[in-house]
Amino acid sequence: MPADSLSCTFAALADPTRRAILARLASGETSVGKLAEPFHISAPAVTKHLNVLERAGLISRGRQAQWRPCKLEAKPMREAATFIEQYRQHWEQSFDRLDNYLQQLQAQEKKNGRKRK
Amino acid sequence: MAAKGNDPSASEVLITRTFDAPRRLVWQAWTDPAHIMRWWGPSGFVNQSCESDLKVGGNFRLEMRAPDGNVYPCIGTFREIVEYERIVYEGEAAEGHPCGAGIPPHATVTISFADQGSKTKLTLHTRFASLERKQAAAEARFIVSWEEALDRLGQALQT
Repeated sequence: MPADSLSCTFAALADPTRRAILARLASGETSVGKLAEPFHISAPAVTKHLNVLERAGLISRGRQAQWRPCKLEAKPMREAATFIEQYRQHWEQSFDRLDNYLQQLQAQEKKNGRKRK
Repeated sequence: MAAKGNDPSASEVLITRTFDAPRRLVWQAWTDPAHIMRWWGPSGFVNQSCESDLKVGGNFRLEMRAPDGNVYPCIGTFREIVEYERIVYEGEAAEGHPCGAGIPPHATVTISFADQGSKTKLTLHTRFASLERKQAAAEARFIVSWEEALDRLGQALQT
């Protein structure tokens, strides 16, 4: 997956309102008006957030129906989750290696300390 | 559909680990290129080079070779350095793997070091897509443009 579309996904996910919108959409498609209800923000503000989410490919909006239902798109979320897992692995394994290396360094320091005495 | 791995708050990663070593040594292992090359990267990866200009605005550069021969660069800039306590990197927008060999493009990675008895607790926090900085920049521009407008207004009123 190209870095650019990933950072687009993450930029979209970085906002708490947008994350809440996605969480709501996880339980099924709904209209903009319904989505706006719990957030105490105007419908245009919600539309703005939806535009960001749509550009990131995280949601799609129906063109036919007048109420243009919003639907969660799983693919970029799945890709982001896969990436996060890979990223975690990078550091978990690096930390394992660092742990070993620190033990080596300390053993070395001990040995050198004894020599100096 | 609250399946694991689908967490919508997944724009940040937090990993902690306690190392059985004093903070001074963990800091050294994290900041000295000769040390860094010995452990950075998943198991089986070998580091070909590492340069670290440890100062605010300085560059960090590392080349990591995977078991399959692919080379992954890690390129970042130091945004904050508090000796023995904290390092903040910002990943550079570069071509290559989105993991950025540990420091992803556009991400802010903060490493914190804390004593835990005779051990050291290390915390890695990664925020993908440094949105806050972009917002701050946009707001700064907004304020500047208002100040300019007020200046011009002031001048206009004087004439």
